[in-house]
Order: sequence, then C-alpha cells, then structure tokens
Amino acid sequence: MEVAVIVAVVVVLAVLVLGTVLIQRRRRAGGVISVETRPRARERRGTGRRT
Amino acid sequence: MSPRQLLLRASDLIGRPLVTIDEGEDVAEVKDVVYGTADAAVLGFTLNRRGFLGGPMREVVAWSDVAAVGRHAVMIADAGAITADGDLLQDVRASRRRNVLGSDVITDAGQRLGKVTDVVVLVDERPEVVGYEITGGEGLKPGGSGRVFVPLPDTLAVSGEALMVPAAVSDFVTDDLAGFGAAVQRFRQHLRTTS
Repeated sequence: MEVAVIVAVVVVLAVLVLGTVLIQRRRRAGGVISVETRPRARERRGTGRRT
Repeated sequence: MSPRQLLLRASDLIGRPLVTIDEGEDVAEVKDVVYGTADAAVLGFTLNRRGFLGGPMREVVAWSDVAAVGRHAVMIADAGAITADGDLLQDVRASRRRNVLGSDVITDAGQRLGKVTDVVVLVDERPEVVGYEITGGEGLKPGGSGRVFVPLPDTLAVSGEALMVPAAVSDFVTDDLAGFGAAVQRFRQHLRTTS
C-alpha cells in the first residue's frame, strides 16, 4: 500500500515537472515575426495633403 | 556583397544573449527576430529573460539600438536600449505577430515551393531579410538534402497565410548559403531588367 502511494506521488511529480518543462520550452520558443510597419512621426510630417 | 556584410540564418540569432557594452552584463536573450513586411527590413528583437525559467519579456530592442551582432552575442550600448515603449513595440502589438517559420511559400504563378524552415538575414547598416530556407519543394533543382535557399525581391508580397515570391525565383534557388548573397543579387538584377 505504502509503495503504491509513493509510486503514485513520484508519477504525479514527474508529470508536473515534465509539463512545466514543456510549457516553459513553448513559452521561450522563438521565431521570425513579420509585422506591418506604420508611418513614423517623422515621416508623417511630410505626408500632408498638397493643395 | 561587401566584406562588411554578413549572411546569417535568423535561427542563429534566436537564443543569442544580449550583452551591454558598458557593464558587460548579460541582460536578456533574443526570442523573435522582427521584420517589416513592406521592405523586409529587420526592425529588432523580442526578448526572453535569461535562464531556463526566464519567460518572455514585454520589452523589445530596436535594431537602431543594437551596437553589434557578434558570433556569440548581440551587443547593446547599455540596458536602456531595452524598452517597453517605442515604434517597434507598437508595430509588434498592432500586427498579427505572424511567425514566418512553417509558412507556405508560393509563386505568383501558383506553384507551391515548400515550407519556410528558416529566414536568411543580410546583416548590414540596414539589415534585411533576403531569403527563405525552405523544405518540401518538389519542383526546385539543387540539393539532395531537400533544403534550399530562395532569394527574395526588394519588396515582399504577403498573401493571406502564404508568402508569395515571383515565379522566376526557381532559376535562382541554391543549396549553399555561402553563395546565396550572389544569387540574391542576380535575382534582383533579373527582376529589374525584366520589369
């Protein structure tokens, strides 16, 4: 009985550790992100309508 | 390509530590390489905290604040280069944060070339994305590894979920990163002369 409890605790802890490692790896995973750039303040000054 | 230019895979930058020049402190590490869809210019990096338990940071570092990209680290003048404000962060937050890795590449003639496994960056005074490393391309010539480098034009076209390239690109595909800079120049020259 005691052995079964210990095994169960070890298994639960192992699952928690494994889950934490996988979640952390996913959170830290990098990539290459493409973004749409918006006009900068300096550029906007020169884009007024011409009359 | 001038001697001061350097071709890098984006994956070589991901995970690289960010080190301050003034104190030599290891303050963060590169999480994502961020570039603009309009002109393929590299805009900067999103960051992770250092160490395995360190998660993503809300701050970013703009390329204009990067002092140097070395073999082992990205150098910034001081910790003030890491900012939770500024144009780059606004662009990242406002955009769809589309990760190019794993995206399909198709030509403007409708041929699917493969999936992006990496992005080639030309590091210069004005760094830019100059090519994709792709796998799964059936109609592409070089290489037995199934991995090829596809050059990109000066301006990028993004179509929905796929990345679009001119159909002429298939003549300029290479499996060698060392010769890829020349392939990019030939491809862009070809586009200029035929347009």
